[in-house]
Amino acid sequence: MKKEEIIQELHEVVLEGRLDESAALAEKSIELGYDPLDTLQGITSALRIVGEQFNEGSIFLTELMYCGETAKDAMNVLTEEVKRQQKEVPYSGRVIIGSVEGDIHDIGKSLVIAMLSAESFEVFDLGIDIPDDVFVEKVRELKPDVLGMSALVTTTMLKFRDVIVALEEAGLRNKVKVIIGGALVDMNIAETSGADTFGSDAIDAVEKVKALLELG
Amino acid sequence: MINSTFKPWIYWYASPDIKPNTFGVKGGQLSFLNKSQIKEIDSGAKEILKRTGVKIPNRAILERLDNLGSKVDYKEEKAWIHSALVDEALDKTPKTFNFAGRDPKDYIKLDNERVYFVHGIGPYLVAPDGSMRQPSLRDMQDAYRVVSACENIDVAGIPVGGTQSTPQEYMDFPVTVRRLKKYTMMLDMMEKPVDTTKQFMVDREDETGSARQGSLDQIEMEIAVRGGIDELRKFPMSLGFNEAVSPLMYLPRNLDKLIAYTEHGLTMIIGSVPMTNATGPATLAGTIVLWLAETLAGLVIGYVMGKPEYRSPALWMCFTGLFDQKAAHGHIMGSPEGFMVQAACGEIAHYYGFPFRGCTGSPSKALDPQAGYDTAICLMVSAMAGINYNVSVGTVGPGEMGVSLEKMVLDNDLTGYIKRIMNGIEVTEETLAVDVIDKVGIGGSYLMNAHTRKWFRKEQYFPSLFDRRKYEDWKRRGGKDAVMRAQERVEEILRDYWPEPLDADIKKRIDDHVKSVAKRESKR
Repeated sequence: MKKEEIIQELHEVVLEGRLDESAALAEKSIELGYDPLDTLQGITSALRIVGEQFNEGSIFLTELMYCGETAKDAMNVLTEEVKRQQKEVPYSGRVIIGSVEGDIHDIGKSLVIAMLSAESFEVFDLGIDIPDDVFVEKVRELKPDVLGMSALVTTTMLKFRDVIVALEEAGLRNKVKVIIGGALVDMNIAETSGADTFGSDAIDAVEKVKALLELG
Repeated sequence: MINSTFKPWIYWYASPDIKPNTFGVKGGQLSFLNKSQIKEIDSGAKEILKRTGVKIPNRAILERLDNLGSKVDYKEEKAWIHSALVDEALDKTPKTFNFAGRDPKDYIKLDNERVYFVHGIGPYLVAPDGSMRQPSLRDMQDAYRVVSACENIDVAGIPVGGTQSTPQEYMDFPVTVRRLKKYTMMLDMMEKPVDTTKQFMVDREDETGSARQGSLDQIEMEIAVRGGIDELRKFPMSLGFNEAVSPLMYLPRNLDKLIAYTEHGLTMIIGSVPMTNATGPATLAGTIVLWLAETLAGLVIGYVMGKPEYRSPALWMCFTGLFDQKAAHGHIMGSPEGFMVQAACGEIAHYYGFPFRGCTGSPSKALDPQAGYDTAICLMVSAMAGINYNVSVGTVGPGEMGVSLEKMVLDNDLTGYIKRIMNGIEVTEETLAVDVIDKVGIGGSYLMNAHTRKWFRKEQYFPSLFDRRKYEDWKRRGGKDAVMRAQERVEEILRDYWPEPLDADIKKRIDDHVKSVAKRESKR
């Protein structure tokens, strides 16, 4: 397989969300000695199309998620190879994300992770029901560009403020942008809790993260 | 998942896997009458035919009825039809037929179960604010382009127009030629079956006695399209509309038309539109009895004037006609009583085995909530009552005042909802999903799941204009209400979409026919 062919094939596999095929194709491109950074381009170009299709309503959420997962499988293989070659992985940025303490909902969070990964962000998922101090520790340890927090119900939404206060006390608040999300979250909640912004849905969240980092 | 046959102009198309259902959806879940009530109505109607009689101003029909043992009065042009003849007509008239536009491959099958939606007629083009105008040729073409893009509409009506709305461009031609030119334009614009019923009905000029000639000219043209009368009989392109005028009268022009169709063995529409309170009794049951008497008379006329070797199938019809005592005018398309009356008439037609044609609409003048409510309730009740052929989708105003392109695209979503509901809930081992539920387990998600991926497009109908987005998302997309979105959709269709033109050979055959009719007319 020529390099162009394998890139094209991977592009189509991602477009069609053929989950079982992408990692193997990525491995094959590495075996054949092609530059993983070039192969990554085929994936990101497909993800751009998929995003547009979702936006205009010709594909729907489950399909979008499949495309995202398909891309992620191949990207994991390729980024490992980039690291092995001691080159720099061209991430758009680093994001850590988790559901606040008391909140066990993670469908929305998973979507945001899928969307961010698809947009070449390096995402660390802390999981659900995350205590305030874990958020703070992880921000200190991983030095993310953005911290994302999720809460579905009004009672757990109060936790946003607690985590942000804890970040301030640890002297980390000015080192990281904070975005919050959840079905009932709006700009008003973002302002009162001290977050920089909020994402109204997964697509919006990615747009807002890009805006926070002033990415085009 | 990304379907390569996806047409870009229908990217909002609900599900590429589910093509518009050319075999309709199954109705008949709702019933207003029980069997014994239907029998009482049946005997009431037959008694009217025997006791009161019907006005039939056509000598040939009266003679035929006379020969078959019914009492007739030639001077008064009246006939008293006996029940045995009614029963014979009910028994021997074919009860199913196909209906197709220019291409017989795209036919729909009418019987007493399947439900279809038919784009409306109406002389004016109505803007969302209720202002109306006489359409131009281009307006009519545009209307057809919009109907083409509405995947849930099975049949196209005459868009914006009976003859009141003959486009200016055709006004110099004699009336028959004008109609054929309009019909040519329709066939050129439309792949779906085309309902030309009202082409003649609204035509006042038929009073001069041209109805028979007009029908024959149209049938000739359809034979030219199909390449022969046998093919046309297999896949009729138009339906011979014979409406009684309540109470208990037939008009010469409608009878002429009916005979033109039945002598060719082509499908007829029979029925009437009694207006409760004015041309029918105030009671709904009484209105239904009157309608049935008139309809059975129409059936008998079609039967006795037909040929035993190729009998015309019949589509029965009633409209939602109410004369409103408060508004002091009639033909209200959009009242709960009207919805029930036509649904009950449909049940009676089905009881005898015939398909039934009903009508939707709204007396609201503008494209407003009332127009939506009236249409939605009417179509839902109609579909559930199993009304097979539902006309006037996309119209607004009393008496089908006009066609609204914006309502057309909104009604497309509405009929999508209704079709989805009619398709019901599929229960199989796979859809019960017990294994899937087990695998996802407690607290998981079904979003990223092969079962979901396989089924969601089949299970869910995706409206293209009805909004379900989150507030922020809706706001980000301009915060537009349904009418604004419909206007945009119409603009989008008219910018991007042109239908496949008519096959060149067929077009030539039609044009030759129209020329020969024009030549004949010029000699008159």
